[in-house]
Amino acid sequence: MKLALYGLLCLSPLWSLEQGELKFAIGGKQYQTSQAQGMVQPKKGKSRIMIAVKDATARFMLVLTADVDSGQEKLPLFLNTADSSLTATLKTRQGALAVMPQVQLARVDPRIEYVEVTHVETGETEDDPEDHATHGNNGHHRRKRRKMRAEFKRVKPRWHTMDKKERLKTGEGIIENKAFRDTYFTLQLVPVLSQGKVVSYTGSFSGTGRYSGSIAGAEVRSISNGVFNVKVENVP
Amino acid sequence: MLRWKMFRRGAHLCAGLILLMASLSSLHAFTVNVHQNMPEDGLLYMEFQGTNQMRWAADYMKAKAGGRYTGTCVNINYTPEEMHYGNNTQCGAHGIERVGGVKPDYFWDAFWDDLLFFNWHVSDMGLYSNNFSSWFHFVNLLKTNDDGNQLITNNYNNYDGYAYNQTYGFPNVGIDYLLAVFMNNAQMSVNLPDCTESTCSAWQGISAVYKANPATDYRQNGSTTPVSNGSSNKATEQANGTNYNCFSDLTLLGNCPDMGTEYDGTMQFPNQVPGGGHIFSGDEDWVIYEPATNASTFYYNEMWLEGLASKNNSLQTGPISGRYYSVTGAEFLYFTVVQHWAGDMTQQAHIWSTIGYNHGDYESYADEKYGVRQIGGSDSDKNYENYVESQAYANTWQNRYNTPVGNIDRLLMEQVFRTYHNRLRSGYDFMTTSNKSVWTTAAIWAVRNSTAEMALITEKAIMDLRKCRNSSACNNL
Repeated sequence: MKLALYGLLCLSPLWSLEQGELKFAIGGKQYQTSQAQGMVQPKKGKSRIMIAVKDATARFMLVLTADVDSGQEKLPLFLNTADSSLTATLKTRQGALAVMPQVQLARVDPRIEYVEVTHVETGETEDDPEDHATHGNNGHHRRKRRKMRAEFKRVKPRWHTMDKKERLKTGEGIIENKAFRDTYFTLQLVPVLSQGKVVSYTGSFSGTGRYSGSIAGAEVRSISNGVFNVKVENVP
Repeated sequence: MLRWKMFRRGAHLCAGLILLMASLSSLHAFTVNVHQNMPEDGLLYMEFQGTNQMRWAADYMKAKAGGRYTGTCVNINYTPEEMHYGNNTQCGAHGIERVGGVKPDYFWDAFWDDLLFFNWHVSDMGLYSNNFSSWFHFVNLLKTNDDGNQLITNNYNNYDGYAYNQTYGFPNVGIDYLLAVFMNNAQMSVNLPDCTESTCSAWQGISAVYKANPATDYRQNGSTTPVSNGSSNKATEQANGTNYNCFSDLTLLGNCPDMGTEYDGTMQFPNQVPGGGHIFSGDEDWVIYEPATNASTFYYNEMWLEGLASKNNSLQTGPISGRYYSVTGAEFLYFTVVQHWAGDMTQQAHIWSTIGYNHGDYESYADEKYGVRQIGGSDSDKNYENYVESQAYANTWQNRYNTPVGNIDRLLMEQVFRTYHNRLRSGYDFMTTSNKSVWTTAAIWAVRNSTAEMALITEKAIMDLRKCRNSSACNNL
């Protein structure tokens, strides 16, 4: 019952949207267009979902992009920048807003190997070059030190075998985007399928992102009440 | 189950948003200090640890500039919002090295026309690289992106140019992708001297008098990047075959005049089909900038050596003759700006070309550490410099003052290859870790390498003039 009520509350504003319609508010200003479109594009085992519009009359551009596992694009999705590959970019006459995950897991690049050096004892000794006090030919002997041999080998980064929790804990295999700390953005997608393919999305979006109206600096600002109903093009 | 998760997340979202709205904060990101300290350490190294010739070259520079920190003064050209740093004007040989070291970050000489807006920057959302001029600060050595797709590397330069969309991390959601979307269908080839649009009045380069036009001036070292004279009041390239910098050809977001063709999964061949385009899928995942080595060559050859006698993309020896005697302290800025790109060449993400992969966060970290070091200090958390170690690096350098006059790109490229391989040493790869001990190790390596690199650059800049004090000695190009 709770789920049904939640679904009704979430989706009821979308029922009245015409295809191509997209609305949102930022900084007390409402933006609306009827030119929005959607796309699903396969990308190396993933699917890229884009909801985008560039309205020259309304003078704004909005692009929402989400990379999800292949096949997930056909399911209702509730994505956020805390645990999804989700970005939003907005350009308006007043300023621009961007948001993306503040922490990302680096992709495993199987071609990356590190050269690691280890020092191995040879069992021999040698003159210590740091021994400046006793050098010369006046009968003193140089201080000796153990002779080491440097060995080099190629190793895979340790994080290649770590799970997400371990990577977050150690910081290995992690990409930081501190500019987006204190931001959080969500995108809800409800697909309509025809012959196994997504033909349209209704959905909503809201959250906070980095906003700036000039080069002087940015602030965290909220974007709210975002809703859309878009036709989807499936890219081969 | 999925819907229940959706419900719970929705509830968490509401609480999260309230908390977030109560904790708004802003960030600073530019690395204004590291880029000034590095060449300063290079000159200090020359004075206190360098060869006899280096000490002599430093003395020549100090004599011409009127002192170490007094005498001739030059300006960084901070924006009004950045004047609070308090060091916009700096003087003397060391001051000029410091100003030159950071000045290219304050060039406003690359304009973009993205079909919705026209400017030299995108608004600062903490994305670090919001000045389009900073796209000239890379040398791309990559043959593949992080998807494993092959990248075309033989574009219009002796060395590989920086193909923005083809960065290491572009294929996936990240800062590279975010900026590419922001700059959708932007056309870079604005012919600045012929631009009459009011925004072009913001054009700012090394000085109010000598403005550079990157689209043409940075074509050095055999670059054949095609440009025309542009058209309209913005002087933006419109002719087929010249819009090589037009981003992904998305019809929904505005079409590029030319469409590219695909190579290994991405559209990498530029200018193949005039017009055309897809709704969302980029048909031209490609943008070309001259690499940092070419930008450096312009300032070194055309401005420093020739004194702007010509701007013709090749070095002539005639104008150099006698500049050894006549060059002014202010003109040292012409070669000290090269130190900026030289510093970039010690940064892994400027070679493994990407704006993402901890690029900005690492540079901010370095600025908070080495960026605030005190000269001669012994704070191991900040004083990353070590002149004895820098001497070891300098001694291994293949290209130095005795390479033929000009050829500053060869010094930078030597550093590029060192830095490329440095990422592949265990404990140095800051691009895939947020572990600060790794960031520190990488930054220390960069500082000590750059000290050597920049000392060699200053030495060469002085010795090239000396070699050309008369024409007969200068013809050994």
